Amino acid sequence: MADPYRNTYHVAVIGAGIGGLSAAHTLAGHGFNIVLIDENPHMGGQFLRRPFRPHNSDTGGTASGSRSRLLDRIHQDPMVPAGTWLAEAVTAPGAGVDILHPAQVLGIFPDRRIWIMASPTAGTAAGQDARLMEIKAEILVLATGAREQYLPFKGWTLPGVMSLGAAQILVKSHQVLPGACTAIAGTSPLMMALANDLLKHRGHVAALADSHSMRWKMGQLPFFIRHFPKLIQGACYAARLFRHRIPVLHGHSVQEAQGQERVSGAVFARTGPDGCLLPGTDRFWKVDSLAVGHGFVPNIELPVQAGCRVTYDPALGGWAAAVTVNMETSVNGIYAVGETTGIGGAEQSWIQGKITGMSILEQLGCIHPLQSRWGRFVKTRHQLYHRADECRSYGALLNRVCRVPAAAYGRIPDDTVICRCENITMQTIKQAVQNGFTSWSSIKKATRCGMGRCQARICGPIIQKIIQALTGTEPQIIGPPVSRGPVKNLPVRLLIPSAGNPENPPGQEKGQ
Amino acid sequence: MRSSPHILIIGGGVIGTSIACHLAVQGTQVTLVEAKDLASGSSGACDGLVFLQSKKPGVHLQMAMESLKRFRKLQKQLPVPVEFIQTGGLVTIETHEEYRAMKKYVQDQQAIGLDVQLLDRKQVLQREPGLSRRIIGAAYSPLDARVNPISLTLGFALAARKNHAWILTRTPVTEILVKNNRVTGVVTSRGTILADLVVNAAGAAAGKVSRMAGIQMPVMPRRGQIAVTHAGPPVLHHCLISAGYIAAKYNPDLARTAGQGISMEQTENGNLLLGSTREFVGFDTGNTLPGIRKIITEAAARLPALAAFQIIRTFAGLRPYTPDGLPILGPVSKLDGFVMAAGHEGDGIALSTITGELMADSLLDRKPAISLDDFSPERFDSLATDPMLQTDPETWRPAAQAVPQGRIR
Ligand SMILES: Cc1cc2nc3c(=O)[nH]c(=O)nc-3n(C[C@H](O)[C@H](O)[C@H](O)COP(=O)(O)OP(=O)(O)OC[C@H]3O[C@@H](n4cnc5c(N)ncnc54)[C@H](O)[C@@H]3O)c2cc1C
Ligand SMILES: Cc1cc2nc3c(=O)[nH]c(=O)nc-3n(C[C@H](O)[C@H](O)[C@H](O)COP(=O)(O)OP(=O)(O)OC[C@H]3O[C@@H](n4cnc5c(N)ncnc54)[C@H](O)[C@@H]3O)c2cc1C
Repeated sequence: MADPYRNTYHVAVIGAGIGGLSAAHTLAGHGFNIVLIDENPHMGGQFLRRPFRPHNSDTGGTASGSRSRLLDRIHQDPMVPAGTWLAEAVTAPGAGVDILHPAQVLGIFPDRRIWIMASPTAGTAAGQDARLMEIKAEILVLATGAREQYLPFKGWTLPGVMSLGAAQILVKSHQVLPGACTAIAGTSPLMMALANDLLKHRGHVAALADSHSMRWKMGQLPFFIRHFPKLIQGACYAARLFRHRIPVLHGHSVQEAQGQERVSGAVFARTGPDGCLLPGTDRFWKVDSLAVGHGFVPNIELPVQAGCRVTYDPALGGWAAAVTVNMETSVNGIYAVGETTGIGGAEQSWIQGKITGMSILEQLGCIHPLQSRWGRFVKTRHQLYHRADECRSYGALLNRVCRVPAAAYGRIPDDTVICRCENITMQTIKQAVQNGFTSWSSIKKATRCGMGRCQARICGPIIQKIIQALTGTEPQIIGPPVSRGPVKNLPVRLLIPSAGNPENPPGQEKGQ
Repeated sequence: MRSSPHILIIGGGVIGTSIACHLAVQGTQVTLVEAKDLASGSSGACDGLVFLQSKKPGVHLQMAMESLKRFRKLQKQLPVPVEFIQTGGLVTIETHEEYRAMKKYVQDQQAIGLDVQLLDRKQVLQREPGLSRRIIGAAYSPLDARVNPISLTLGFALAARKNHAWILTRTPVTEILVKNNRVTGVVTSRGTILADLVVNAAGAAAGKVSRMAGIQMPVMPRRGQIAVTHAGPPVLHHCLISAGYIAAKYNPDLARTAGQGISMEQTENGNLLLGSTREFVGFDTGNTLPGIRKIITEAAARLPALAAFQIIRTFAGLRPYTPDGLPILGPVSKLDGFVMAAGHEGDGIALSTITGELMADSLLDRKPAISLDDFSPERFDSLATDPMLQTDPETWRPAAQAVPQGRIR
């Protein structure tokens, strides 16, 4: 638990996914004050999802773990035990790392001051009984991970339509099925993982639609030979789907989610090579939930706010924090690690975390050139560089597999809502693009897209792709989404003096 | 001057686009050059108050009153909705000193025929039931209004373009061409553009742009930070500013004691805009923790209902500050063909329509409806040796900070 009175640290690590944990672990035990901050009540980020509660059976059917099968044991990712060990090591008493969670970082201000909304009791959702605090750190490590990305379609805002990640959280963390019968669609490897999780928990999967054709996927196989374990994992997933006779539609995309108050059916149609839906090929599936996902984008809000340079590269999953080989960003004293710097899987985050930790130790003067460890230090670091490169090449493959043909974004039907917070439709966006508003900051001004509660976290990457599809403008010219604090909505009441807010001393009130 | 001059405007903020629009509808050949995007400067990072009460009685208030008249007709002329609404405005009063100062202020305004009255607490709460009971009164004018500053700027630009103005975005001006003491055009990132008249409407950067032509202009960036809430139910029906700032104008002692001030408005969508600070920090548009913290606590103290809202975003804009608080409008006599239109500080949105019209008249050699004499660039000639004109705006700070840093309006 974090010391409630301390507000300066040598190192603050934001994000306790594999990347943040690995960096914190490398740094621990050298006598520095380290704080690890995460908005989730558990350690391990998107990768280590563990049940919040042992059992639950209220909605959407019961979910209960099945007997461990041979299949599970073969395809278990070696990163799972490694990550679990990391999480235990970092949180162990005496590890020397202050853990602050659930606590959202709202903003980063000059001089590496970070603004945090912390829940005083672990286990409750952030926001309840929250308090604001400010921490200053000599060195910042941004390990904020990634989020999912979508290609909007008709009906995608209906209740019951959710992201693959959200469905995964329901099953894995809350032990609840997303519905009695779920359809899965998109372009992400997460689709297979989710289908497996659902089956393992006795859920029913109606069908799985993958936008890529079988032929295209076979063409990618040779590239995956280098990443053999991932192939095995994929094969195991496929075997389970086959055994449960789950229809897998290759080269199909979701055309529409149907339903009045919530989703009651999904329509899949065959996809042409440039992402268009072929007329007359649509098939209807009666479902009460639909999980979709089209890959991942790095969470760059905090790096952007801190003034770090970001770069665009489709191989990184879009805009990502630019880093040196030692994971330093363009801002002195700020490092970025894990999927913030580009999508690449859990192993990449782990390796990058180690490199970050070593670089920071060096910067803080812990590694003296004459120390005997020096030789080993150099060697280890070079091995890590090498592995980090391999992870990057896997990441590039992953992002290619997730990619949707650019033209598909230009073909979203006119009445589809793109910015859900401000209710901005495709038609409005198209009109603005026609009027010459083809940069991120100008289209936002012209349409209000991205100005709502989520501050473009969902629609930002989509709108960039729409502009790109409609005009051919390069993403570098469209520009990255701008980010300002607070990254997450901040209740005003937390700033009001009194109301048990020790951090805001009363006294500014004028008597009357 | 030639019969149909080619006029080039530097700056795509509300002032530059308004001038472009007013010129283009008269068939003049206009080019507008903007370094980034339209409304990417102060005009896209501000409140949208069209407040009469906050203007100093005199030519400042006269401009604002004329501007307001034009706002009423504006919607018909612009292709996008600008959300102009006369909500009426309140200047809230919290102390008896403020009350005395505001009483005199209101009398002065009434004397020149402004529709404004002083309300007591009961009357204020009748009008605006959500306000805190610590407010002892308010000055009220039904004329005060608000507008969406971004839509307004884009509206001017689209109307100008419809009338064949050429608008170039992402094209910074890097040099101003001068030959025989006459401006002949500008050099931009996309090449040279020749023009007969060059209008400097670069907002807070107008000082920098003037220097490109070898002219010193005392325009400095003055940062204002703003916090925005999510779109909630209506809790504020008027535009609101607190008396702190205005009272201080009349009684400098109050600046120290009353100090704090705040502006609040709730937009069409339901978002509350809470502003703002006044700081000299160069061209830094960052937000600071103390700045936004102060704005939010001050606002919530006046509008308790704010406690149920959430802040979704903060941002900051750079007001174009001038030493006397008035804009600099009109030709620079030292350099033929170089015309100033900048320095509206915290009133650029409110004064945009009238500024566009007066500038268009002046540029086309017609007699403007209001004389521009009070806004002439020459009024600062005596400042030639002032440190303000000698230092880089990045580092310049006022000698005796008249308004303490971080002060809130
Ligand atoms: C939805 C989703 C599901 C995934 N499922 C799988 C899977 O099943 N199997 C698999 O192999 N890989 C999966 N991945 C990929 C996995 O995330 C990566 O492989 C790897 O674990 C990334 O580690 P990381 O530390 O870089 O980021 P993450 O694991 O994403 O960790 C980032 C952490 O930062 C925290 N954070 C972010 N912003 C803030 C803030 N402002 N304040 C406080 N904390 C913050 C987050 O809560 C999170 O815990 C998934 C990714 C996503 C996005
Ligand atoms: C927090 C805050 C609140 C405010 N509230 C109000 C209010 O309620 N009511 C009101 O009336 N006013 C308000 N204002 C003031 C108002 O925003 C300004 O007075 C007005 O926007 C100034 O407009 P402008 O066109 O002169 O400047 P800007 O909008 O800043 O436009 C100048 C443009 O010039 C461009 N430029 C600069 N250099 C170059 C170059 N070399 N080449 C090409 N282009 C260049 C810039 O990119 C910029 O887009 C507020 C300001 C702030 C900061």
